[in-house]
Parts: sequence; C-alpha cells; structure tokens
Amino acid sequence: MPTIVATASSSGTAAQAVASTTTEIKKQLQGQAPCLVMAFASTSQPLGEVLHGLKQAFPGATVLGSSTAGEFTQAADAKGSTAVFALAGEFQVFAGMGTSLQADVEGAVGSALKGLPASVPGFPHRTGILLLDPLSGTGEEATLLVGAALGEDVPLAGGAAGDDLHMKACQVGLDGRAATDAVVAAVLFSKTRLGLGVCHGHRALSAPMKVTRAEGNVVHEVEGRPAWEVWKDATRDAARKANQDPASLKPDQEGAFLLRYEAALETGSELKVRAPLSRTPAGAISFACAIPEGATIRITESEPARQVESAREAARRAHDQLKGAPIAGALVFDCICRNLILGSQFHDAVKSISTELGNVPLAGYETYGEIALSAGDLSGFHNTTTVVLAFPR
Amino acid sequence: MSTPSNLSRDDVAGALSQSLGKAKADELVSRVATELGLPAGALTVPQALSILEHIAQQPGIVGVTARFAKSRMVLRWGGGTNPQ
Repeated sequence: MPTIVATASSSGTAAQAVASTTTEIKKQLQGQAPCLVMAFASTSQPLGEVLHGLKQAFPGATVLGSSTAGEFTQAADAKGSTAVFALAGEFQVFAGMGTSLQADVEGAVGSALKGLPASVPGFPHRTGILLLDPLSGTGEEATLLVGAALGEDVPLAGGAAGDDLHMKACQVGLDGRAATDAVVAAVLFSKTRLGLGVCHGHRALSAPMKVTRAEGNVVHEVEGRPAWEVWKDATRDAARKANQDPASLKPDQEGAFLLRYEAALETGSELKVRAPLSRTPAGAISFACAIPEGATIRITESEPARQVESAREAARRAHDQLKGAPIAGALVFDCICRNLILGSQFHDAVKSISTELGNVPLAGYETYGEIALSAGDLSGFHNTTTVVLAFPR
Repeated sequence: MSTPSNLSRDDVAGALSQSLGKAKADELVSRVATELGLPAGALTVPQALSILEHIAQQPGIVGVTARFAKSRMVLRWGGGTNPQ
C-alpha cells in the first residue's frame, strides 16, 4: 500500500474549517482511511472544536494538533485559518497527552508516554512526534525526557504551539481534547524510516554576554542589568535599519520584536538559538525553555535570503536521509520568526521545501519552538529553525 | 562500539553544552570534578559518567540535561565500572 499524504486548509469558523478540510482530505486520499490526522489551528478556530470535528470525520485515525502563529500548506500560507495534514499507508500510530507541564514536566511527559508500545511486529521503524505548550517554559526538558524514554534510535520531530503572537495561551490536543500547559506525544511505527531535517539561518548580532540572574525560563539579568534593557541596547542599530525603535515599541509589538532578535547559547561549534517570548514590567524576559544562570548568550538576527536557504537546506537534509527515495509528503514545523523576517516572501520558503522534496504536499505551522532530535544529538528543542519530517512514498 | 580509553573534562562538558551552552557546561563540569576529587587530566569512562550523574541530581534544565547526556554517553562511551 503506497503512502499518501493529503493536505488542506480553510478559514472561517472551526466547524466550517473542519467541513471544508475534511471534504478536501477525503478527496485526496481516494478512499483510503488515514491513520494520522494533524490539525494546525489559529486562535480563530478553537483547537478543541477542530480536533473533535476531525475525530468524528476520521474515527479510525489518531488526531492531534496545535494552536499556531500561522498555518500553511504547499499551496498557501495564512493567518486565521486551519491547516490539516493526513497520512494514509502502512503505519501504526499511538499517542498520549499530559498536562501540568510547567509544574511537573516529568509527570506530564510520563502521562503522554504512558501506554505507548515499544514495538509493533512488522513495523521496525519508530518516529516520535511531539507537540507542547512553550509558555510552560519547559520545551527542552520535555524534549529530552521524551527522547530519553523513546531511545536513541527513535528520531523525534515536532513543534511548540503558538497563539498568533498574543503570548497568552498556547494549546496542544489529542482527539477531541485540547489544553494549555500540555504535551502530546505520538509514535509512528513504519516499514521504512522517515527523513528528518533541521536548519536555522541566524547569526550573532551582539557580543557574548553572561546571564547573571535567571530562574527556570525567566532571564532577569544579563551582565548585571535587566534583560530587556540589554535587548533594547544590543538591537538598536539593527532595528533602526528595519525602521523600528526598540525603545518605543507598543506592548503588542514586543513579542514579534523579541522573536526577530532571539538569544543564542554559545555551544562551542555553533549557536543554539533560544526564543524570547515576552517581557515582564520589571524587565525580565521569558523564554520558551529554561536558560541556566551563568550561561553565555548572544543576541541574533537574520536576513530574508538566509531564511529561504535554511528552509531549503532542512528539506535537503530530510531528503538525504532517505537516500533520494521518492517522497509522499512532509510535515513542517517552522519558526514564526521566519514569517516575521520574510513577510510576503514567506511562502517562497515554504514552496522551496516542497520543491526540494519533489513538489510534494506538505502542511505545517509557524511555531514558538521546533523539535528535532536524531541519533547523536544532545539537544532537541530549537528556535528559528525549520524542521522537516518527510514521508517516503 | 569501541570504548574510549580516556576522556577529558571537555568531552564531558561537550555532552551538556548543546542545551546549557559551553560556558555553563564548562563551569559545572569543572566544579563537580573538583568536588569529586577527580584529576584535571584524563578521565576514565566511569569517572566521566560520575560527573554527569552528580550534575543530574540538580533540579530543572541542568539535571534533565545531564540525565539525558548520561543516557546517550553510556551508549557512546560504554558503561565502565569503577569511578576511582
């Protein structure tokens, strides 16, 4: 049985989006029942309603999803819509969900993984998919815990939910249930391996700086000064070139601003980007995952051409893992920063992924963090990247 | 898989630096190695793993990262038996 990937997107109410995408997905699947359906819903379509509707439409499928900061398929990208990905073929899919991620990351991950089988006869390859609420501030911990539990031979892909840059409530869900402060883990058992690629296009803007006070995912001080003050100073010149003044941002502009000028840990050979999501009145900055006190960071920036090329490179890496095998389609988890940097050119980056994989269907969303963990990796939570999970035909 | 005959503090810090950054990883490994009375030079595999095990007891991102790193490094370095 060949693998078929179907994708669709729609705006309107949740019910309208479900009805429209269901019709289109069924048409593309040509009578095959999907084993996995994933929905990426804007804040205009409540995720729980979307997942409930899709589960009714595809009762035999595992249905999971995430709220977003933008949604796309190979055909178009949008705000205020829902994008749906459906997979049919020789797969076995299992999933679980955990809550209270911020207070008890290990308990939440344990709940999500509880009961997932370690093997399925006849399906030798396993791939994990992870969706989580980044506002919990535990993105890296959750990813590493899932990675450790599944084992080094299980690649892990996924994304952190978004909320259209409100930075208030990011949801993930499974079947008819959606929640904030939650994590959803799925395991796909397949006959052949899937291809996973990740790449970012950022470079250092500031000199190295030490995090001098931090608690969990909140950085209070950098070099002994309030973090927000440091951010404004370090980005002033670059922001002015983009016709922005960090000192006069309105509150609803700060989230997007921070996502253009993200932090990066110096890891030795490369930069590991970390997404700042919001700031407090006292000048602390909250991140999508914990930043240890004593770490050395830089503030980063990027430019449009590097963003398009890094998206293509992520697709190339996923395709290379499959040694040139024909691709049925792909899931894509793409940092919202790429959309903020590229603006109207964003779809060029999405299109380049589809082109690199052979003009295949794909669906995905704009995230507040991306997850990619392969054998040999020692960190799996990323920011500013494109993560491509390719399904061979 | 071959087991390395000896490891350095940099090797241990390298297992942590992708999540914690190099500066923080270096500082943690140096401090814990000193607390454990380990040599500044070459480390055996059990000594290297004992550093990760010690760091793994810390709360939050530091402890989770060290536990993950140890689970991966056991496979890469081999388990060893004697930390002294």
